[in-house]
Amino acid sequence: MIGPMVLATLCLAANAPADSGPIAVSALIDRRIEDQARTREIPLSPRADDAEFFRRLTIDLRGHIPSADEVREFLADPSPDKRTRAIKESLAHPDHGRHFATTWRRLLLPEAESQAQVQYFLPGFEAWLIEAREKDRGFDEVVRELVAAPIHGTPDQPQMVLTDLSAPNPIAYIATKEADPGKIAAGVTRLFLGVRLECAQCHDHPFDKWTRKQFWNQAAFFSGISRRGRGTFAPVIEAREMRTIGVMETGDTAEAVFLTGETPEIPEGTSPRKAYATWMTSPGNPFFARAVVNRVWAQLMGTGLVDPVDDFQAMNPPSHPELLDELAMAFESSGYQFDTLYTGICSSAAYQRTSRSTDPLQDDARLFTRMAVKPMTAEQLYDSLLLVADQSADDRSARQGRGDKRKFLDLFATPEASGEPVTSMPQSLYLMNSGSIERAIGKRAKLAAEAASVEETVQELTLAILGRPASHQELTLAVRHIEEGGASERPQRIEDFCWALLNLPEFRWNH
Amino acid sequence: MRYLDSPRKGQISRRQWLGGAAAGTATFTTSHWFRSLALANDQAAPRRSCILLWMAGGPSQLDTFDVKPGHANAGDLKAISTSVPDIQISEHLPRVARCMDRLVVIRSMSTKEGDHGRATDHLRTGYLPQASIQFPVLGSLVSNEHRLSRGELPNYVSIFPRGLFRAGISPSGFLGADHAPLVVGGVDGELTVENASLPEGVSMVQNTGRLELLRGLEADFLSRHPGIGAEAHRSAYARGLKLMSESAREAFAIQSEPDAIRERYGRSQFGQGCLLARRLVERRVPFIEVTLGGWDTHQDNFDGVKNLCAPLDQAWSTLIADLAERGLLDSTCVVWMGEFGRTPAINPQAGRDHYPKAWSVVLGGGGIRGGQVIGRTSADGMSVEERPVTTPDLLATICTAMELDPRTQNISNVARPIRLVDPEGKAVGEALL
Repeated sequence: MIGPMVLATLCLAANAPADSGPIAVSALIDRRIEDQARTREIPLSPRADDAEFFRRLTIDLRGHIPSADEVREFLADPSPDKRTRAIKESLAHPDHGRHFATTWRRLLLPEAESQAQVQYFLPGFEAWLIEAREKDRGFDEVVRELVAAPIHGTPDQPQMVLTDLSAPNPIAYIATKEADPGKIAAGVTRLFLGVRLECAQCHDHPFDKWTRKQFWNQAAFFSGISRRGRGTFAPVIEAREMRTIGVMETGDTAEAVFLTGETPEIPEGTSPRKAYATWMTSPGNPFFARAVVNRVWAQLMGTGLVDPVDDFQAMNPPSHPELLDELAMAFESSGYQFDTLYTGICSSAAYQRTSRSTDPLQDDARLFTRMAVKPMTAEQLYDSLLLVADQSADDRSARQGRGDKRKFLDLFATPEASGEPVTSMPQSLYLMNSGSIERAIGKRAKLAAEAASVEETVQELTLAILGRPASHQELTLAVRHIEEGGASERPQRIEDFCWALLNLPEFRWNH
Repeated sequence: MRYLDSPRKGQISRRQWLGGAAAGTATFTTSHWFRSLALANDQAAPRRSCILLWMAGGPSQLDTFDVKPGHANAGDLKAISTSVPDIQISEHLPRVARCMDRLVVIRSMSTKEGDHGRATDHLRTGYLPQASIQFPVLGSLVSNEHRLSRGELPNYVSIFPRGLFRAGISPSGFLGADHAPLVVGGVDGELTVENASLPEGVSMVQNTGRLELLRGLEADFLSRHPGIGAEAHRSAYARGLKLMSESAREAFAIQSEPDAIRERYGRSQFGQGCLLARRLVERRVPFIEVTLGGWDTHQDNFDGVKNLCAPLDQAWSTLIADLAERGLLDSTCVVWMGEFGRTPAINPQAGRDHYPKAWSVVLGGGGIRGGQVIGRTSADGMSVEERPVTTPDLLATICTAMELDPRTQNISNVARPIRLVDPEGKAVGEALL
């Protein structure tokens, strides 16, 4: 059970007034981050230049690096509000919906990475996420739809989980959790409430207030679900009258009780999942908005205000508690709309700071005094490499062998936990020597070689790969390398430069 | 003992040799660069290596090392005598039977995880899976104990690990990418390290030029973005380049072995994998695992096990003999295990299902007192009747056999010290020399 003290703190923000617009959100962020930096006497790093900001924004919101043309256009634009416009345009771009869907699909159906069968669910599930994002539906509604996805059918005629491959629907979530009440409950509480209950499945949580009983109390809301037969595609049924669940091994029975300790009132004939979904997303629920804004914050800022992002507990306090409350409030009053949250964070001075270190004290990532260097997700890197190889968005999925992509995503998978980017040896070997990289640089180098001079070729490649113009020093180095070989070696030496750019941490990381 | 109760991060010795790597900007294969590695190498105390023969899917103990002749649960399987009086094993493992004096069979494994994924994590890390702590697998733990100070080869090599590593989950856990396994062998069945040679059409000279350019271009960015990311990046490239060296690639070239040797191991993937493991042990790689999959015999268990035992018997027995002939067996611990055993009762599909309650593993070679059976199961194989052994007990035994102190601590991702092996685990003393 949560103690009354903890609950009191959690609900404190409910009394605070909050303007929910993006400008207000940015102001909240900057006030809290700067307050803490001032208290600790840590100098803030300066504002990122346009190129650094634009590349970061494009990777974060659209899921890949910008093209050379896009960078050129953005840099040439003299208007003072161009960053604001870029944020708006990125959010409206079709790639944003896709990127959002990939990101949340990875969190919701991680099983797809290791179980081939689960992949059949992806088109429908991702379409459902894309649709939700493109309409900017309230996330509360989306989550309710997921948690309380209707299960019709009777024991004689159970509900199929896969009928139309591409029709948008969230039922895959229940199917991939094997229709197991414990697995569903653990996943939901971790992702949407920021609470790790699965360790409490077999024993009381070693470092936390959560008890084994509470794990089973949550599972009880899903206790009516079961599947008929084995396997991912087995049809499912729900006995809606079920309100209790048998505790594995002890033989006790657990009732459906919310994490806050209240007992639900469930109308006759409706699924207890509905009551659970409503409770989770009801205004004033101490967990939901905090867990979601914290996760989005971590995606954009590199580290959660609570970190790890799914470990809200007394022993793991937020770095900026007031900010977390305020962001949660703002998210709630905006109707749980991501546009406001994304725009608010991306417009803040904190997001727009350079990642370059100007003081060693800035190295504490939890203070956000300079922008974090984030690893690109495997998907972000894959799509960026396709752009380098000049593959258009349309032929991306079609032309690439699924197997190749799968292998790439495995090799470059980043752990869910946030933190500094890490390069492994097999990754370095791939980037240095693989045929895919060699083909990409061949293609890109050829395109750039059409420029009038070596200098222009170097500039073009730097724009296309690093999203910024080359510095004077880089230009000197590259031109020297290319010209040293004479005319006969020129194509090969342009490829060398291209190779070097792709192997730079600056390319590999979102900085 | 030196490190007992002194928690530390995994990267202690890296800085020292990275200094050498960063200095060698002109070429990456200059000898002074390797010399600094050799220096660090001398400081590492010699310890035993380990070859883990990983039986993915969970092998049936009743059809391998805990045969129950005469009981209905045994089916038609016969037991045969071994080189040790009173020890009998399955008729499908005649050559392994002749090595029994170098092997210890533990027939009393008793664990709690019956799901492939969770059990695999459990047996390979020694801990029960928890969402918050990213436990490293044994190979990564061993790699970390040996530091990164050895020659061109990585500390942990995993051969044909199909399905062994789950996407998105790093096997090296909180020890980080430096201690992740080098994976050898792809879907095409070839025993190669992917991308370890230069791309087609790129010469050594051209590559040196590329690397010089890279060094020149990356310095500014890395110095302005200090942190472990920058360090790990340099380290990954330095190790990648070491692996591309002639001598490192030579280590993986099993085609240079005489045909007679290759035949002796058997031409199966697993056989050739074991031969590669021997080559790597010769070059002092401390941890190598070779996977043999297909043990998930829910249907048609008896044919399944028989078919798997043929390549297993040939490769494993040859490995033991070959290591002994080369004087390497005393310094190499060879472990045979999967994630759990299988139900003694035979199901209607003539199969056996998952059974973690009572099953067998086999240890042999360095540090192991061979020629004995430890523990006993009931006549029907359903329960352990004598000397139950848990997963932490088993890992503590393997660590001790490798001359590693199981109580050594590492700092985990949640900033809590974690011992190599759960302190609840007690090494099975009678299995050890």
